[in-house]
Amino acid sequence: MADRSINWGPNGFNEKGVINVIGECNIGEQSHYNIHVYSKGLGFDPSFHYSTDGDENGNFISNLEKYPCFVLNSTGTGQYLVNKLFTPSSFSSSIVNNFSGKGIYKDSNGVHTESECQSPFAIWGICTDIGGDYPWTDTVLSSNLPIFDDAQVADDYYNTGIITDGRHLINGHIESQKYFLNDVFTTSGDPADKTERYYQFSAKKLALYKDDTLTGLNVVLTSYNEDVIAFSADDPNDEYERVSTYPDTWIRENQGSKYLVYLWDTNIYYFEGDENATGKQKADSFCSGLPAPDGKFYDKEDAVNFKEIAQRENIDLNGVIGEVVNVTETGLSPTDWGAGVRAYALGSGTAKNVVINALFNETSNPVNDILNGVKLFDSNAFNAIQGLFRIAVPASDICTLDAGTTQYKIGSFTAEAGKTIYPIRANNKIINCGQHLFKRTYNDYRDYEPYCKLFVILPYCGTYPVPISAVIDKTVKITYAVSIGAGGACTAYLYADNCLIASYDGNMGEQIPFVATDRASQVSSVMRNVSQGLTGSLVAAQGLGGNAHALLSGGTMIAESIANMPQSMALGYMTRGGYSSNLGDFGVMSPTFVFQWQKSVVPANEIALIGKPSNKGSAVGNFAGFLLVAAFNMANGFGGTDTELEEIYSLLRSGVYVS
Amino acid sequence: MQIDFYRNTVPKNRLYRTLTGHLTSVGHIKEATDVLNPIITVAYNAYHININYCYIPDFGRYYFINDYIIDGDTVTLKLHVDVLYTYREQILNSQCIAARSSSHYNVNLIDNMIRAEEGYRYNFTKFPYTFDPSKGDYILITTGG
Repeated sequence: MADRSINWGPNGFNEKGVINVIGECNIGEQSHYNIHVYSKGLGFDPSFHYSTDGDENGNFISNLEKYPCFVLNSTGTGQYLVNKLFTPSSFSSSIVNNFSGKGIYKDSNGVHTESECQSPFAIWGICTDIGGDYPWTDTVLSSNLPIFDDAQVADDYYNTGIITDGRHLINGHIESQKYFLNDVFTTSGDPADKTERYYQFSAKKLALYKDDTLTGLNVVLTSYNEDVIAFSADDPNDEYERVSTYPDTWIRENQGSKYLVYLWDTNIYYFEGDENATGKQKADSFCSGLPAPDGKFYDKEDAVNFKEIAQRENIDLNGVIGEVVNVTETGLSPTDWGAGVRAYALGSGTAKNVVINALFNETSNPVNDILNGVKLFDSNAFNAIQGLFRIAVPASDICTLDAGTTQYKIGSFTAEAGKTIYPIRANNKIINCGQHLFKRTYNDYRDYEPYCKLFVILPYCGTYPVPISAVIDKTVKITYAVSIGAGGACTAYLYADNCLIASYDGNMGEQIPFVATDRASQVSSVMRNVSQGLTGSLVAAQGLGGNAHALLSGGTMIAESIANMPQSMALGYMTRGGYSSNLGDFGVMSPTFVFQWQKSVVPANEIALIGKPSNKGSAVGNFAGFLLVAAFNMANGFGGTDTELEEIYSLLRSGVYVS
Repeated sequence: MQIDFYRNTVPKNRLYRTLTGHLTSVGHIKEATDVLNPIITVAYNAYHININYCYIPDFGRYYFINDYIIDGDTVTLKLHVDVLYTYREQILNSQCIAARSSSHYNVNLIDNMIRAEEGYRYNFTKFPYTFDPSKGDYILITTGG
């Protein structure tokens, strides 16, 4: 069985849940890929939790020789969700209570499915079953619903709406519910006597404060509402076990030769007193949300270790998918279409057929009358028809429409449309595609180029790289403006915190050939844009080639640090966001951001063994654990020889363990 | 001169030592020697082969015992000064700029210990709006009045 990981998307939680599955496989290979997601909705029967394969009764669904698909089954009042990814031959999905299929997209090499469900809804337990030997790219399964690796926590969430143990949350974390504290020290000065304390806590709010009245054990752990669930391990790499008791005092700093701290590491906010409030008062204010005696509300920013915690390598997934707003804004185009040259929204579906057929209907639109009405156009009616095209959105989304009518003007001739059509008054609305808050993932340098690349796939406009620093920790919004006068040309706008940072041109108008010259012009346009698309593909292929070269010499590349990776990283797969022509209907239909990280490996014992890059200055005695110096200046009072001093420099530059 | 012998169980690249089995002996400098790498002789004692560390008060320095040479009833010890432990107080009080540290680090600095692994990790964020061409409109533009 192959080992394939599932990357959970950095989505926040929202009342309107969305589950996405994106995967690709080499069609034609006899293989299968299963992802099972066990879920709970209204009236769910917990016994279904334990079905490991197949349908809701545990029977393998052998007749699903599918394209990768998304199958939702339900039985009775329960709900059971199974993602089945099969290959190849057909495609199917079914809908269950509170779910609706949405945005299913597939091409010859992959699938992108999306389903919606309504809160409350809890998901737990991921099982992957991958068979065969075939090239798969990573499958991405993401959701803005909380997903757990523990049935009980999922059950609690479903019943109460509260995540009782944030550690079991797979696709994010509740900031105030995941704490850890590692404290390794000796109270005798002898390393042989060291005490190792590794704890994880689940709590609404935890804080540490310095109590100067205590000797030795000088840091106190406090909480809000005593709602602490503690887990402990003898080794941080072991599985943590639930414990009923835990220490409430900790050693954070060396105190002479008796109390030596070997490791102090926590993401619990730590408060120290000053002239305004004691550490305890600050911690209590932080935990309770009430003001301290000095009247000030103390928050995490007041903690001594706030910056250190902010820099930690945790995955902070607090993104929120915005609702579809569809806010309309005016003033986009000042062109008035009220008279003279007029544009009409004919409708969708067969509207074009009806209207054009009616134009050739001798009874409703006599030819001689038409010719009389278009004498200013050399008696050629087609000279008075400026354009016929289809746009990919309802005209009412981008235009202000007049009241419906069944007639329109060709020259001075009033033609019968054969159906109700809507004259366009103004092309003055934009399409709001929603917004998203992008959060950092690693919280270190790997969040930015060149270690990570961000691309935006814009329907009808194409795929473009986006500077990560322009959008990270910002609310990103995408809007579209579509021009009627320009035959469906469109511009996509990219905003970050309501500031326009980029725009991209495209075209969502499909020109309908009306006369022979139209047809020739359309084909020419398509071919020209295909040619441009090929040029773009060549550029992309060169980028991929660069990566391919790096991978071909993978032994070297892998052996090197990620810091030495290629400075240019192209999107590792090909997709079509849309050409600047008439082919966008065959592309991706929703604006999509793609973060692409170079995979990396962080040694589990790195911090203890060799530390991390620092560039911080202080006395050597203020550091703990491993220390490798870039610069060192021996304090006055050194009574050794120059040779000894050189040896000290050499040792410190090679790295020593201070404590 | 007096020599305090110990057994040290801590590797050399530490700023602390764990010293056990203290034994005081009298030793002699064998020949003209470097105070940083002295060679001394002491009367043979089976204990001496179990020690690896010593302090010579006359020199004010701690030493690693690098080599033993037993010659009849004497033992010749080749020493090397332990600069980290001898001058630990001055070192601990000295200023430095850390290149790497277990306790004070900045994760936004490039870390050469993080290795690139083959392949990429992706995250897709799909915006809520979906274009649906089947709901699009035909537009007819004419000149007339």
